[in-house]
Amino acid sequence: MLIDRTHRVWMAVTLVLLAAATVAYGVYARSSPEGPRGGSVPGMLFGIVASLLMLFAGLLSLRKRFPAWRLGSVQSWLRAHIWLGLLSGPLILFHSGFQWGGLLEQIALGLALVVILSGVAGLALQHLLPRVMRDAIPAEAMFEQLPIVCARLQMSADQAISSVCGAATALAPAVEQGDPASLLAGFYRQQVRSFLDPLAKPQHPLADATRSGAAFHQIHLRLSADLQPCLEKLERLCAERRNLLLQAKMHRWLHGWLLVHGPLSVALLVFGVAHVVTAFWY
Amino acid sequence: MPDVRSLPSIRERCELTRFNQATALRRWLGRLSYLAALLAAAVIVLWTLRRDERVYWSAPVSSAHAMFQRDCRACHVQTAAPLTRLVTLNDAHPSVRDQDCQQCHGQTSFDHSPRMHKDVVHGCVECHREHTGSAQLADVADRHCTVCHANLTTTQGHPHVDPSVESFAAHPELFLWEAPRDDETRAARRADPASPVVFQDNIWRDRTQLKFNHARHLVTGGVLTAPPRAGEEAAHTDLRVLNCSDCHVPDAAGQYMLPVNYEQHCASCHKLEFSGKLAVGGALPHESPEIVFGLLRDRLMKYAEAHPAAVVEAGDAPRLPNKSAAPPSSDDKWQWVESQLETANDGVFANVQHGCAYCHTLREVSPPSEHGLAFQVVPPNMPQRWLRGSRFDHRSHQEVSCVVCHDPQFNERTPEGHAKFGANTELASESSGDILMPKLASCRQCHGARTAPAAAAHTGARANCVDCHDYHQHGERGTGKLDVWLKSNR
Repeated sequence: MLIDRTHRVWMAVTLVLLAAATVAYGVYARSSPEGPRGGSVPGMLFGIVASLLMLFAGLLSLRKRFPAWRLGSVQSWLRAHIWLGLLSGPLILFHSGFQWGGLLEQIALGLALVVILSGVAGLALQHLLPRVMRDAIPAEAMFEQLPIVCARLQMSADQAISSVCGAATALAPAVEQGDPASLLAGFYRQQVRSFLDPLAKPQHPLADATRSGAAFHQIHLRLSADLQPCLEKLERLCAERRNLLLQAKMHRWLHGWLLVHGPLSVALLVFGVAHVVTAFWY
Repeated sequence: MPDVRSLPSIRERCELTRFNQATALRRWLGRLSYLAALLAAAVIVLWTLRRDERVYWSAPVSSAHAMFQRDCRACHVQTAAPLTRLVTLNDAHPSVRDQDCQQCHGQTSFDHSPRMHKDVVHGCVECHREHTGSAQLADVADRHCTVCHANLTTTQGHPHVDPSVESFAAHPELFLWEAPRDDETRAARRADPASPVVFQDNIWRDRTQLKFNHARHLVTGGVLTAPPRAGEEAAHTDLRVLNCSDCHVPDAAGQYMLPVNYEQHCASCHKLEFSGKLAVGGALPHESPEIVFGLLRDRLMKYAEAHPAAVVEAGDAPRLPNKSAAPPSSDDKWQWVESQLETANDGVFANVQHGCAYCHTLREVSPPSEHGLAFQVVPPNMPQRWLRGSRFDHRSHQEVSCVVCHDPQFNERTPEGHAKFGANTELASESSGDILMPKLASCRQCHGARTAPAAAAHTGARANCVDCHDYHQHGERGTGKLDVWLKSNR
C-alpha cells in the first residue's frame, strides 16, 4: 500500500493520540515513586488500549475474508491497521514502563515488537517495490496467474517451433541430425522449453540474461535465415519468462514478510491472553 | 521488452476464471498461523503443568522472599486485586494487603510516627515493591519519603524535623550542628534531658560530664602509660602511641562503636592507685562511690586491726609515762577509720590528680551521706547512639580515617580533600564538650552532592533516604539496624 495523501488524516490522528499518550505517561511516570509499572491503574489502562488496538489490527485478516461486509472498504481498514497498529507499540511500552518484565512478558513484548517491525518493513516494501516492479517488469501478470501465463508461453513456443520444424521433430526425443532445424529443435527441447515451464527454477541457465543472450547468439550463428524469426520469438518468450521470474521474486519480497507478521501476531494473541489472565489474577 | 500489461494482453495471457486461487504463500501463511497458535498454547500448557508460576513474574522476588517464589499464594492471598484496581480506578487496592505481609512481619504502614498523616500511605507495598528485580525490598525510592518530607505537615504541633527536605542535596545539617530553627525548638531541646547536646554560646556542646582531652591522648609522639609521680617526671619515659581504635572498638556487626570502658581502655594507664593508707589492698576498683567508700572502710578497718599503734598514735587518750598505751578498743578503731575516710573524700574522690575528679564531674553532698560520702559522681551522660534517627555502618566506612568524619575542623585543616584518606589520627579537640560527630559536609565528600575532588575522581556513593534512615518506628527503637522484625509464630 502506498503511503499517500489518503493517509494524512490517519497519520494526524495517530500523532495526536501518541502525543496525548506521551504527555499522560510523563505525568504518570513523574508521579510514581518507584516508576511506572504495568500493574498500576494508568499502566493497566495503557495496556488495555494497546491490546484493543492490536486486536483491531488483527481484525484486518477477518475483514479480508468477508469483503462483502459493509464495514468500510478494505483500504480504509488497512490504513487503520497500519496507523493504529503502529500506535499500539508506544502504548505497550508505556504499559510496561519500558521494562522487559518476566519470561511471559518478555515473549509477548518481543513478539509485539517483531510484529510491528515486520509490519513496518512490509509497509516499506509495499511502498517501494511496486514502483520498481512497474519499471522493471513490463511483462507483469497477476501473481496467481503466473503458472497459466507460463504455460501459455510454453504453448506459444511449442507452436512456433512446430511450425518451422514440424511437430514430430520439435517435440520428439533428441536425435541429432545435424541440420539447422534439428539444431533449433534440440536447443528448444533441452533448454528453452524447460525454462518456459511454470516450475522452472531461478537457477536455470536461461534465467540469466547474459548467459541466455550468449546461448541464443550461438544458435543464431548456426541457423539459416528462415529459422531466425522463430529463434527471435523464442528469445522474446524467454525474456518474458525471465521477467515473470523476477516478478515472482519481487512478489516474495512484497508479501513474504507476512509469513513473519501473521503467525507471530497469532502467537502474540495467545501469549497476550495468558498475560492478561495471570496479571488480573494476581 | 514491450509492456504487455494492457487489458487485451492480460485477457490473452491470463485465464480470468481462475483468479482467486490460493497461492502457496497464502497456504503457508495459514499453516504457519495455526502452528504459531498451537506452539504458543503448548508452551503455556507446559508451564501450567509444571506448576512453575515464575514465568508469570514481571521480575524475580527479592532475595528475602525467595523461599516463597514457587508459592504465589503465600503473599497473594486475595485474587483479582488488579481487576479491582482497574474497575475502581484506584491504586489503593494492592495485590498484597498489609495483613498478608503481617502474617510474618510485625511492622505496619503507620508506625513511622504517631503524628503522621495516615491517609498518605496506602499499605506496605506502596513503598516495598516486589517483583522489581531489586534484591532488597527496603531499598525504597526517595520519592516515597519526599512525598511528605518535601513539605511536611503533622497531625499535631510543629514537625520535629526540617519540613522541606526534597533530596539529599537539600538535607539540613545534622541536628547536632544545626542551629535551632526557632525558640520553641531551642527550648524543647534544652529541656530534653535525653538530649546529648546543649546549645551554648550559639553552638552545640556535648553534654557529657566526663573530662577527656582527645588531642592529648592522640599526640603523634605517644602518651605516658601512667602519670608520673611527683619528682619522677624525668625518669618516666614509657610512651605509647594511641589510635582511635585503641578505645573505640566496633560491635560484632562492625556497625557501631561499643561504649568506652574504663577497665579495658583506661585502666592500663590510669590506675586508681593511691599512696599511704589508701594504698592498702592495691588499686581501687572503678565502681560507684558507695562501693568504693565501703571498700575503703573495709581496707582501713583491716589496717587498723593490723596496725593498732597507728590508731593509738592518732588517738588523743592520755597515757602514763613509761607505760605502753592500752590496745585500741573497737570504738577507737572505728573512729580512726571514720576519720581516715573523711580524708578519703578529698584524697580519692575529689583528687584531680589521680582520683575520680580527674575524669568525672563531682557534685558535693552537704551534709555528707550517712556513710560519710561527701561527693556524688555526676553520671557521664555519654550516649551510645548519637544520631538516633539514622543508621550508620562503620565497617563500610573503614577505609576512611576516623578524623575525616569525627574532627569538625578536619576539613578546614586539610583542604586537599581526598588526600585525607590514611592513618592520620590527630584530633584537634581538647575538650569533652566538643561534639566530635560528623557534619553533613563530611558525608557529602563522598555521598550525593559531591565536592570537586571526589567528582573529579569519579567516585561517589549512594545518598538515598533509606541509606541512613529507617521508616518503621523511626527514632524510637533506635537499634540502628535494618531489622525486618519477623514474628516468631512463623
